[in-house]
Amino acid sequence: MATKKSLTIQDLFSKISKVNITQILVVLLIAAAFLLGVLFTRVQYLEENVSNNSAAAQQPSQQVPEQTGPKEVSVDDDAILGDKNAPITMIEFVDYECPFCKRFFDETLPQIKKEYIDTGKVKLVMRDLPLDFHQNAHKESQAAECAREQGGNTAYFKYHDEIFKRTTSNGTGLALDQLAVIANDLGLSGSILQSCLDSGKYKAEVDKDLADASAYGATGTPSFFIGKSSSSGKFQGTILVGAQPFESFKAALDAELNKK
Amino acid sequence: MPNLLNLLKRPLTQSLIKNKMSKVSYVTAAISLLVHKPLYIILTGVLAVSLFVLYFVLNNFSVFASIAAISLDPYLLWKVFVNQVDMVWEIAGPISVLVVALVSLLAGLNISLVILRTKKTKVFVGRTNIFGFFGIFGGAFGAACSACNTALIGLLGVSGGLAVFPLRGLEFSLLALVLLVFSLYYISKSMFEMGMTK
Repeated sequence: MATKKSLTIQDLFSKISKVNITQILVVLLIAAAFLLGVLFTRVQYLEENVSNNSAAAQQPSQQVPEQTGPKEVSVDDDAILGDKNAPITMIEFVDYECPFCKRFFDETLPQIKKEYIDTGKVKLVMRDLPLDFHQNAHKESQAAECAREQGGNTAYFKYHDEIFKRTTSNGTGLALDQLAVIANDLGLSGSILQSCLDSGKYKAEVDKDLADASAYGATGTPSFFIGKSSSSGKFQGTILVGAQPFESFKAALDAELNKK
Repeated sequence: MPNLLNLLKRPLTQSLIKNKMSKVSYVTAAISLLVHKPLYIILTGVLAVSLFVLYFVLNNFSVFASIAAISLDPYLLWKVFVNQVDMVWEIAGPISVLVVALVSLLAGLNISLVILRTKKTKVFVGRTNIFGFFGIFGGAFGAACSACNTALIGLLGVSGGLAVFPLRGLEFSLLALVLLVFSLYYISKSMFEMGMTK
């Protein structure tokens, strides 16, 4: 009887310790495999972007922005859509290869344009935030600036629209050789745009937008800053992150319009 | 001597009988116990829905925080939530949403079973919940984000959010699924060992 009891207890102890060790080992193994996967992906990702690291270096590595009320933001010297004297300014930090920016362009921007921009209540300022893991985004931003050089804000926004219509927005959704083709299709000079692009004339301009976005706490795209316009181009902007529904923009814009 | 042999054989025989009961039947027995208790079905449903919402809100925290700073209108927040899920469905694919839903359901089931077991036996067996904890926690990282570069994974210092992962964050959800299935098995097994299921 004593033997049976001792055997059962011994068996129980060995069973418990066995289960515990197995459980712990499985958890550790899964965690280790996962961390190795993260590390591997990270290394791969860094290797892919090693040639394109000038902009990446200026981008923040941490994605969670500080959101502590309105911040002083600037329209800089970027392209404007709408009445320059509109009482409200909305800055969009855009990445042409971000599918959520494309979604905003496709679904929300037309409504904002119709109700707020075309009626003179709001002006939209387009600034660049090409994320480093979207390979072609930086060049596309530069190309839009090159288009603006040829035909002002009108050409810029036509070019902007055309990129979003043609790209599949997945990092390389639009082949870079198409940038000159778009210019030609819009009645601009493709060869001039290509030489502008090759010279890297607007690289610093796009990098400045990147640096400003980071300073404002905008790390994801699309990000918007909405506030009362000022003659200096600087204003207190409330951040709105993501391709939110039209109702979100309506709430933000109406709140600014109703402020005294 | 034959008696001693019998004694030695007995635990081995019991162990063999237990092994014959398949791992799946532990789980089905535990679930069938739960589905006969309407209160626990409701609890599972409420937990699953709450976790689904929580996963999306957490992974799109900057999106929700920015609109909440402008308006706390519940209808607007609901519209934003629906919009986020719709966008993820469209851009990341239906599987991204469905896997998060499955993780939420399994997590709800795990929690309900732990509550049921603790209430019936008055014993809280912590060690069987370890997988569940990691599964529920891991599920939060898997919900696809609805803006580029804003996912919760950024907290781990991964620049690029879920976009840098080959499966766009589905890895997290699948890992959470595996952990929750393990957890469900261990909880169900402990319920069998405690005599709650047959």
